[in-house]
Amino acid sequence: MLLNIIISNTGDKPIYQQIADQIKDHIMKGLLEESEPLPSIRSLAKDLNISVITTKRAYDELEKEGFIATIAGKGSYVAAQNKELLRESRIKIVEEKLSEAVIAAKSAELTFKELEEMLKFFCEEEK
Amino acid sequence: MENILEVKSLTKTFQDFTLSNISFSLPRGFITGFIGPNGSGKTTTIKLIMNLLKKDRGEVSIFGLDHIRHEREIKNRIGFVYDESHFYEELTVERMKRFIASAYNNWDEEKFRSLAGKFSLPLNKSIKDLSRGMKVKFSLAAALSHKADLLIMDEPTSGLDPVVRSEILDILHDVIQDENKGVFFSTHITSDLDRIADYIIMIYKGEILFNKTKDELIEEHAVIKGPLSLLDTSLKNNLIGIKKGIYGFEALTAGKEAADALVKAGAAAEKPALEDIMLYYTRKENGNA
Amino acid sequence: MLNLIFKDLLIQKKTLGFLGLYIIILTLAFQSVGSGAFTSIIIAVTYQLVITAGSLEEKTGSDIVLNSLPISREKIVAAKYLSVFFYGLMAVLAYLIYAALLRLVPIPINIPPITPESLAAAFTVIMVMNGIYYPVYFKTGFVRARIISLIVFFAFFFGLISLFEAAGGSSSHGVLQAIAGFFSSVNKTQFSLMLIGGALIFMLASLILSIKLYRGREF
Repeated sequence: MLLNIIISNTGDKPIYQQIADQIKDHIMKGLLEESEPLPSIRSLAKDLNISVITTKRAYDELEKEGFIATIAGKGSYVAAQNKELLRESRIKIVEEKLSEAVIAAKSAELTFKELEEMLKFFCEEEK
Repeated sequence: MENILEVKSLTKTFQDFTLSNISFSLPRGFITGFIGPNGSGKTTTIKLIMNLLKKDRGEVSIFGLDHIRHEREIKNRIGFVYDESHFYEELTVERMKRFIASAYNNWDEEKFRSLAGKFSLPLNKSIKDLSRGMKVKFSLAAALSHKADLLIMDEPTSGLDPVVRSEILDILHDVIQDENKGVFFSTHITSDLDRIADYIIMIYKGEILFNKTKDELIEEHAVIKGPLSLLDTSLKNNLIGIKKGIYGFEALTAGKEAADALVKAGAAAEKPALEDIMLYYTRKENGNA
Repeated sequence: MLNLIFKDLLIQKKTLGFLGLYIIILTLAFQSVGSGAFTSIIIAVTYQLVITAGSLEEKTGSDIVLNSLPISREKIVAAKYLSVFFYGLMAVLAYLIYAALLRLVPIPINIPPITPESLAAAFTVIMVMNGIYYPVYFKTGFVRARIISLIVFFAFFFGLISLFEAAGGSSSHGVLQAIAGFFSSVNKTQFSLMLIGGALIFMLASLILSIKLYRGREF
């Protein structure tokens, strides 16, 4: 399993949120697949050098949002994802990024036409 | 039995200091930091728990057992590390270890060997020739080699360099990989606890100020920096340990609403470190200096 | 219990190394005392070992460690009492070895033989001395106890030497001569047994007192 989690102490985002977000990200990108086991709370806490409670809170958060499931005594694993939900959340990300792009474009005084060209260019490049 | 250590209304009076009626508990499976400035009563509390000092009043139970009635049974399951080693300087590490081992029912020699290797303990050196860091590591190795369920540490990291300190903190994580074990870690160097502590108990002038999860503590407090003019408003009542400067003030707030109100009025709010919380709370009384 | 006594021996390894030398010096110093020299040497050596052990415990602050380990306070106290007998026996052993060695070399040094009476006297004195010293030691720690110990030691030590000198006829002090005279008139075996028995009872009472005091001790 490839799990990259980077914790920043300087940001305003609480550490449990950073962990939850990064694991979510792994799941959405498909880097963590369904029913794949996650590290135990205690060993993750040790490896990240943070407290057990913080780690537990991150897992609780993920569980609440349906990303992971925990079986008592066995540990946590990636839950079967609701494809519709996953798609929705991905669309939401696209919308967010696009609206950011639009704001940036406005401040750079780009026309809609130019923006469309740009989008087309990126879409073709990704193919 | 959820709690590994329970202290109820513990009281001890000295000529110049009173530990008054303190109560707290330690859940299993976590690291609990016990913080407070020097002279607040941390060592007194630990000595009372270990029955090195005789309590005036109160109850202490460890593993659900009374700490005096079941003293030996309990001490068999406690690992202790104090700020000074109090080991016989004339003995070699190996000899001292043999003595300690003979006192415990379930000494685990293999575990000791492995820790001694990990810490590079010089087994044949006299204890008087060990550095302070090495003495602490030896204490820790001894504390972890008899299958202890509770680790009690009194200022173990004071006077150690950052490398040794981080090694020691690492080991504490190893201990609580077993969710039935607990660590009670007293220190005035709170930066040791910023990352690893699950719970924080703060003691000041012989009284417990709070006992919370570290995350709660950090989240509900904020360091506020703002213009001096704010101190003339009613917002001032929300501030703890105000420190006035020429260009503005710094203080701590408890509770999100208090911080929000101050930010709205033009102050800046920052996430506190444990040290900030300790400093501002203990500054409270000479606040407007 | 044995590990506690063994630990006391180990921490004063250096002092033990000097034991032989110490005995030689004392033998030379006590040439005039006659048969009392043996008793005096055993008392002096035991005193030295008890004091050294106490001072090293004090220096280490070892009460804190001992009482944090699962060792009962009763055991800690009892081990100290038992160690007195160990020290006494070690002194006797060292004396025997030393005496045997000295007989091999033709030096005109008087090595008094060990008699049951001198042995009984030695152990009686070390039991009584430490029976007085230890309750103070366990109540207040070494620093204050050392003063008591010193006073008791000198009282016994010089008292005894004077007594032996009197017994040897070299003292003109009336009272001492009277006491010495009394000692030489009684049945020696019976009297020795009485002394040892009395000292044992005294030491036992002292042990019980020390345990009680040490239980209330704070560190």
